[in-house]
Amino acid sequence: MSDASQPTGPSPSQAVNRQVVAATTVPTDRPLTEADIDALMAYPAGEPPAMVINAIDVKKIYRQGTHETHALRGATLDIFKREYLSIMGPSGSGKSTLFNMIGALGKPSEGKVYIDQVDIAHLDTNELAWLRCRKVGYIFQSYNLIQVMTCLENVTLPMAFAGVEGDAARERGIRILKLVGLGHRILHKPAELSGGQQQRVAIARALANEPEIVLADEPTANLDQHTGQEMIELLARLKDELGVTIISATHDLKMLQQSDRILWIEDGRIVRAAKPSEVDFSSKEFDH
Amino acid sequence: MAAIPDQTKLPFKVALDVVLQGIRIRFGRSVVTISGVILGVAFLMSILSGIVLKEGVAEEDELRLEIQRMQNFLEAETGLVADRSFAVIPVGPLSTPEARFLERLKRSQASEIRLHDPRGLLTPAQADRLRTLPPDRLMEQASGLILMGSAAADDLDLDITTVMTGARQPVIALSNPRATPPAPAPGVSVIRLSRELRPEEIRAREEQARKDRFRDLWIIAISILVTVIGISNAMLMSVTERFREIGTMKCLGALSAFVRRMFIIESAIMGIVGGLLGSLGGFLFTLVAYLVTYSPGLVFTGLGQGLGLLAFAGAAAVVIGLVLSIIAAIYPANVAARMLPAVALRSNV
Ligand SMILES: Nc1ncnc2c1ncn2[C@@H]1O[C@H](COP(=O)(O)OP(=O)(O)OP(=O)(O)O)[C@@H](O)[C@H]1O
Ligand SMILES: [Mg+2]
Repeated sequence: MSDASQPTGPSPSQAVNRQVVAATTVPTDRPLTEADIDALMAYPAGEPPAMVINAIDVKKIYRQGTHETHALRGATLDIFKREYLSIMGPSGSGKSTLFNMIGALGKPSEGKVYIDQVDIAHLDTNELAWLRCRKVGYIFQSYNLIQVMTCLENVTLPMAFAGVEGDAARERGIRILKLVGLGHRILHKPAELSGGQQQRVAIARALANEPEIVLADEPTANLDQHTGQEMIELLARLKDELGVTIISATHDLKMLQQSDRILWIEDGRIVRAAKPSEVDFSSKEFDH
Repeated sequence: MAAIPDQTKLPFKVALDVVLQGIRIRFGRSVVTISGVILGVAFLMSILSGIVLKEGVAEEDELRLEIQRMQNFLEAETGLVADRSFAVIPVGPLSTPEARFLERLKRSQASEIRLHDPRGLLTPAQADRLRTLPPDRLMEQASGLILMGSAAADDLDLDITTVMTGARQPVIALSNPRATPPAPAPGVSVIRLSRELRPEEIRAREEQARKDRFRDLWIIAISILVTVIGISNAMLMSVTERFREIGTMKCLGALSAFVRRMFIIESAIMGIVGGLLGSLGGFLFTLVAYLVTYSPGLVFTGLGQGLGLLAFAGAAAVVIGLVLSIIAAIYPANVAARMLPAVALRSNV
């Protein structure tokens, strides 16, 4: 890799300059080859944008006693700045695990994860905390709201960790909660909210410190059509207006259609990549 | 991005705020945890104050028994003290049992207590309500002469025969076990109201005291153990059931140090509150138990004597509660603080 425009630091998967446009699927019955990965990771068009996250051959094995679960069997992917990336895959295919790995919440069993060209395995706990606090906003599949805190406190907590407190945090928290349509619920506890409302608090919290990357694990799963649509538009607007990179696991058609790129993951492997325009959303793969 | 800066270190106040808010919101759960601490400390404190009170009560018990014995010996010789007169001549300063015996005589139904105190050995309070008479009139119609104090009666240079003139009963009673009896006089009987313990009796008592002390130590050790287990369990539960919350905080950028500090503050608050309430509760419980079994006078006398020891026991119980709470919380908090967020998130203990 000798391109001078490439940012310094590790240049993981040589994906940037490739100009593959077609939707790509690789067979799952054999190990992926270099060529497969190149094909999967090629950015659809034009200017090679900068990368924010690179995962190289990330494997994750959960061990319980003698039992091993291969949650990821070598995932390689590049995620670009300002990209709206959707990840699809059946239940148990490793989506949440992948999010944990690229979001610096867990350690891969093998492989490397770079965030902004920095190998996160080289970061100490302080730097990781900084990263988790300001650079990445997480929307967890199971929300993980702090049950004893009000919505507002849940949203201002990451601000407190970033050193923002008092009225400034309060105001910002209220503004974000209004943005997700919960302005009237700021002093309620999560337990007093519906699933969809809790999900929106989780979204609001992820945005608390104005992250550059939002990792959203099924962010619209519990929302009705209307609010789901609103959240999708909110994320799209964040991307367009603030240049936030959005990575989301989803089966939501609207969300898939909004995204710049869709990756399919199956049994811990990325098996297909495509632009929404290349996907036939009327096929029976998409009706549930 | 060239380098990633270190995460902001939050001031103590932020951790304190989060903790106080947590305690307030989780009030029910906090009460349960504090109750664990209270019970542990209260148990320890009730044992400790029981030992202190028992000591005081035992001394007082012993003293009362001794006085009763003195009166019994006297009455064996003279008949019931009621409506009789007695004379007192102090030959030396009074011991505690003697002073109390004199008080008891004064409060008894005896018709009169007379006094001859040439050396002024009695305090004004002791001499109060005693009728001072010259030696030759001292025993008129009286039933007994009580020589108090431990010096030899002959030092007083008294003529026993003169003193005994007109006595209804010529009895001389020595209230101090170490008193030297006066030279024998015809017709006068000399009795001792108390006696020194024999060596084998002293040995037996010492043996018993040693056994008691050993048993007390054993009980204290056991109760500390119970306290340790009770408090550790309460704190351990309250931390482990929050692993998920800790994981969430770490995902949001909390430093391990912050998590650790949070739990130390929390457990310190719980330890102090629980320790204070527990030691007060444990003490009151024992006090009431003693008040029910012993007379209040006895208990409060014992209490007065053991006050310093009790205060020490209370302080020790609070400190034990506090230290235990912190230690019991530090271990799981440390484990949780060091966990990878993804792992902490999934752990449901
Ligand atoms: N902490 C863990 N310990 C053991 N096994 C785990 C753990 N986390 C995930 N797994 C296993 O790893 C595999 C992938 O799990 P993961 O949660 O990533 O799937 P997913 O694609 O997010 O599924 P879903 O769509 O249901 O959320 C599953 O087989 C799961 O059982
Ligand atoms: Mg999942």
